[in-house]
Amino acid sequence: MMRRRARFIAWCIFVLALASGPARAQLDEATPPDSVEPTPSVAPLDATDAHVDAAADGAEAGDDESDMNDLETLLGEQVVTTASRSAERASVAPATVVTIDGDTMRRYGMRSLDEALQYLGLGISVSSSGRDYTSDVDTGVQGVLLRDRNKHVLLMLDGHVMNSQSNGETRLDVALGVPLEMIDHVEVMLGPGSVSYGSNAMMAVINIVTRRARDYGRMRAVAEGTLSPPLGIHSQLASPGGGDRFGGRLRVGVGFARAGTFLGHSAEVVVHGEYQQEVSPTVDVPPQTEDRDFLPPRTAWGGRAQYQTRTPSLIVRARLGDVSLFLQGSSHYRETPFVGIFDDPSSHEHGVSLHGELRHDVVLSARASLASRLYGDHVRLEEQSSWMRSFYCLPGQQVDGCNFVRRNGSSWVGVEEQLVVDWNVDGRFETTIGGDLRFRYGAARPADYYDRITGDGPWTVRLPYWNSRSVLGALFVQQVVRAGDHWTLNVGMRFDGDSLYGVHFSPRAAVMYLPTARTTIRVGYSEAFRAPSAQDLNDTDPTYVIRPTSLGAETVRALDFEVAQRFARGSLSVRGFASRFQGLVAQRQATTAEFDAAYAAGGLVSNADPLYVTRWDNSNTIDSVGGTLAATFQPIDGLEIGSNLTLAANELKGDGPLPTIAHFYGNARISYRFGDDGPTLALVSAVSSRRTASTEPGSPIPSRLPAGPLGDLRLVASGPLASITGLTWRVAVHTSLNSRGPYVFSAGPTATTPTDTVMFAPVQRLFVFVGAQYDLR
Amino acid sequence: MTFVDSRHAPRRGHLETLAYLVLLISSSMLPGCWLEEAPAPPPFDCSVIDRADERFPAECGDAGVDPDASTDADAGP
Repeated sequence: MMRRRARFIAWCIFVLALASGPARAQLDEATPPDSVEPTPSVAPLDATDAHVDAAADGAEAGDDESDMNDLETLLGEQVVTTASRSAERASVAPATVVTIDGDTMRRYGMRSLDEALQYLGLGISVSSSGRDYTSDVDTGVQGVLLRDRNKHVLLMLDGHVMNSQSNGETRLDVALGVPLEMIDHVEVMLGPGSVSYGSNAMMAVINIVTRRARDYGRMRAVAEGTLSPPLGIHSQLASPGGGDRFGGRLRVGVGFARAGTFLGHSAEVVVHGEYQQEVSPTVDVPPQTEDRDFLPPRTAWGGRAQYQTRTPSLIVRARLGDVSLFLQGSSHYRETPFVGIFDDPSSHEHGVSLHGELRHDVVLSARASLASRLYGDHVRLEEQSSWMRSFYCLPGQQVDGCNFVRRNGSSWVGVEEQLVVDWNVDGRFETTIGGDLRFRYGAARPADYYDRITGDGPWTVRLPYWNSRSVLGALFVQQVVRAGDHWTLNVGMRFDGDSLYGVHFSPRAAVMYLPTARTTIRVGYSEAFRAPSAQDLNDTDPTYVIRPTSLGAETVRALDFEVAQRFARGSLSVRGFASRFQGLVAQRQATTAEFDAAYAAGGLVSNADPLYVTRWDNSNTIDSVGGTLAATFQPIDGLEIGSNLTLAANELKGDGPLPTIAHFYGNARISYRFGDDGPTLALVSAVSSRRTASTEPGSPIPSRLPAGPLGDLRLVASGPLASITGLTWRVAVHTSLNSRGPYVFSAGPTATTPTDTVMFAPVQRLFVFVGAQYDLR
Repeated sequence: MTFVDSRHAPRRGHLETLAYLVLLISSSMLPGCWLEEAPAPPPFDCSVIDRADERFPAECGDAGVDPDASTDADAGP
């Protein structure tokens, strides 16, 4: 017992010793740092790669993890891990995987993941809703955007699933809580990915790969500040003064990394913490006389508003021999001034997330490797808003209005095993098999209503509540067959058994033909699903939402085709895709029979309006067809030109076109570095064609108003500061060429409100930011 | 579990550390860390509800009051 405790204490001392810096006497700095690349597998890439031999040499599995940068240099193309759960060349991956590396993100002035996806990604459309009720940032992929907090995009951090297991939601903006300085690169796999990862991977899989100690440096500190001028009516730039104020955003972070040996094993640790705070510029909103809530001295919903966000985050990554540990924690608080009573300071959203994983990699033999993960996560979210006239508070609360609070939390623990067998040790016949067992717990109070003045709870009904314990078991298998130098076949299947709803099979098959070493022709078919979450199955609100009796899984079937050509100084990729999403869960108006039954059962209050009462149902089908074009070109040393374009048409069965996402969107970039160590000048833009603006789901406001075309430009200068080694800087100016965000807050004049003005979500028209980063190598 | 190359078998210390983490994570799922159900509403009583006649005119206002009871004629909406 004492011996065990001593070992545990030794682990604690290990982390503390590394954290203390000077006290880390045991670490041998002269030892070359080894690394664990957070890939789902340590499988060799190809028989022709020198790394195959290295992987089979018999060193610790952590040492065998491929150094992606070295590999990419060796192979002359990108190495990806997301599509197959194993490291492989992008040209033979069974799906299109776009890699955005951290240095590129910095060079083009990115400040968060959603910006990187919008300005550097392929097939992805990011829209900021201007902080309305439903979400802050929406992400659309290949012509489909669903306003659901990214339930149809699977987000992973070093292969670790980040989506909440009680509602499927995840965040891609600053709320994600992953500091940019920790990001080595981001892999975006377009299309369905359930064959590898199960539920939620319907539109794309985004895998953030964090930096290893040797890529991070010994210490890193960053400080960046953004300044943006006030916005007038319709997002016109206004002058400060008279109550109009500048907005600012501050991002400070600091961290350290150490690598060496400890207790006879190679070891490393990286720790990085960050704090972000934003105070928006003032925004002038035209007064709305329709049924909206406001408090005196205002005479209408509208006027001047401002909001804040606060986001602290911490990420730890450590490795001792074959065992690696990853921890991430963050909190995100944001005010929502346009929700409920205008500019009410109590309206906010607050989310907390904790993610952790212990991973063990072992090379069983020259043929086989095994990766084991033990993980645990916790996420919770609270939203609050205040309402008076326009919202159906509970009986008795209409006099002073009500505070509406929605809370949910989820925890899950699980274990995942993955075995990769390269039968002939030549990469030509490789089998991946694995399983995942996950225990989930979720609880929510989806609709708490309190009196806005007295704080009293309801007098006549009990506030809704649910909790859910469930188990998810999954088995997956994938077979890769490489015939000669030209053909690769990748087929896979995953079985998911979920105690909440049943079972689902997700197949995928892809054929890659490489007529030359630089040309890839790929055809793939894949299916994916999203299981109904505990929140989907239990969501209820006594004023307007009926709990669904049952829900099935959402599904997508996708076919895609790609031709990619790599050149000595660039690359070109042309893709086509067709997808059918079926059984998408959406709110629909309750039938009279459903309303009567819910009312009789006490699920609805007496003032519930049948016209507005809804329930969730597998009611929507979306067809999407389109193509993408991606090109990069480096005509001379230091100069990079690139562009990603998407053209897609979609059709929502039953209710017209999908709003918010444009048929054509994309980005373009150019950068030039002056000399080997000189500054870099970069220009990046995001564009989209005209689109139909979206309203809040369930809103009676028609969503037929056009917004756009949209265009954003960002000019960035960055480089080292010659006088201080390790200090780099970047300065950026950002402008938005359009004042209409693709979201409608007010549809404009009506017969009863003739003086109202159309109001679109505010757009941050201009901002500048300045940043400095210090790296101690 | 048999490992072909015993040098790469999980070391005992690692498994123990794994067990500690399981315990830690499991502990976080104990009751008390979780959202609990809201208490049931108190018995409906007009006399304890602030401005009950405005909030519940049918139950506590003129319309809902016993005509024999002593009431303020100005109360209610």
